[in-house]
Amino acid sequence: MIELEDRALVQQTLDGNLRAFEAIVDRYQKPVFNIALRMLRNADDAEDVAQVAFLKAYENLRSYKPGFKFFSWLYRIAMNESLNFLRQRRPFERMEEAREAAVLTDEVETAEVAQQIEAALMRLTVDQRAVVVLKHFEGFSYLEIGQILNISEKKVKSRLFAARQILRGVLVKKGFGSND
Amino acid sequence: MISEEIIDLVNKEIDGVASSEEAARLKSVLATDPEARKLVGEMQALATAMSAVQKVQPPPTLKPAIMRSLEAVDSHRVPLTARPSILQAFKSSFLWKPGYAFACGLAVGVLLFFLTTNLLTRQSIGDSELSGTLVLHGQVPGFAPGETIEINRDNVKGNIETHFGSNVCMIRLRVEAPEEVTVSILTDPARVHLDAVRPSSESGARLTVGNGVLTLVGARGGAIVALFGGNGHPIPPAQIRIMSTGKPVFEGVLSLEKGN
Repeated sequence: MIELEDRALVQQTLDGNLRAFEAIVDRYQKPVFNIALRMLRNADDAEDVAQVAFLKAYENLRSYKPGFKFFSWLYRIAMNESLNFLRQRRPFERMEEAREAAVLTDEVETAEVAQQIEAALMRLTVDQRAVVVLKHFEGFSYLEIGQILNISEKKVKSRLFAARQILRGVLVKKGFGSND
Repeated sequence: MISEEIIDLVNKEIDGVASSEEAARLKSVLATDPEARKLVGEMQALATAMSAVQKVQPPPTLKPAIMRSLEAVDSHRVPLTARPSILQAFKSSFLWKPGYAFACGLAVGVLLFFLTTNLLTRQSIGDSELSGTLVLHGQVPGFAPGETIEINRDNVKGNIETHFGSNVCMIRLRVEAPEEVTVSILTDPARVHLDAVRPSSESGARLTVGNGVLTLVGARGGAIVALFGGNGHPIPPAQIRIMSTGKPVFEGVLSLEKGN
């Protein structure tokens, strides 16, 4: 149902109805912003990336193929923009990690577990983080993640499993999940 | 030591994609293996912790900003469906202007010949060509920009740009600083050839290159260009450090392979 509605909104946008794209923004601004936020850990940067992602989606709407789920296509743009952003600033990432972590936890979330997860995510490579964000926070299947990131399902699994091992190690050190 | 098979099964179980056979196999392992039970407990705790992370509401400024940018784009163009694609435009031209098709085909043929011959011959850069580094930037076919890293710390501003060609990576470094800066680039001399030039206006700066190490001491501004030839091997990452008044203003590892 949502896919059909998305396609209708896309077609209306292509016919020149900007209000139809506004409905797409209403529908997807939250997940797109959250993808960027989980990847970047900075609300201002995430807002910028989300804005660029929607603009690029609008400008490239003619290239969207209806056989593909619209939200997967949109998330792919958002994820690519996040990865591009991270790659450009990568050398600074470690230096600014502590400051950004403080900003996010102070302003956006307070739960201790969530804070630990957010911090632990930054221990992952950006490729691993992308898979974890799409799997755990957006609930995509291995196949859908592969389509969004343009990698094989096998690679999705291997990155996800490796990421979990790292996250598990970090969280166990902090006292989470130790049953024995 | 937990085997790869068990780790795989645990992950599938956590994701809810384990088949009935896999679930039964995991169950039998868990009955006898305390280490595997511990792993499952920790993985389940991880999944629970992940679910504790709530989605954040986007700032109220996001949607208005998006719509403003879309309206700005729209004000400069015709409706999306009214624009013919480039292919359609070519097709319609060729239908009644065969001369264009011939001229275009000829131009593409010449371009392909030029690209092919250059890509085949320029597998690496030798010493004799290094004086032509700056010229190469504009002339090597397929030379595409990589990433740009901005430098802005302690009054030192500038950027580092990478450009990729066939088996070549070029780094262009621009620095503006009130005090002298020292730049050092380290790479593997066994796998790359490294050389550099600096602007002649930077007469006070001392540039030394050798054994995979480049240093530029006493620079106050301008740009240097470093060129890496992979000699047929993948180009490994390079470490870059920029110091000013004894303090690092930039440190990083730069990927020098296209697409990394």
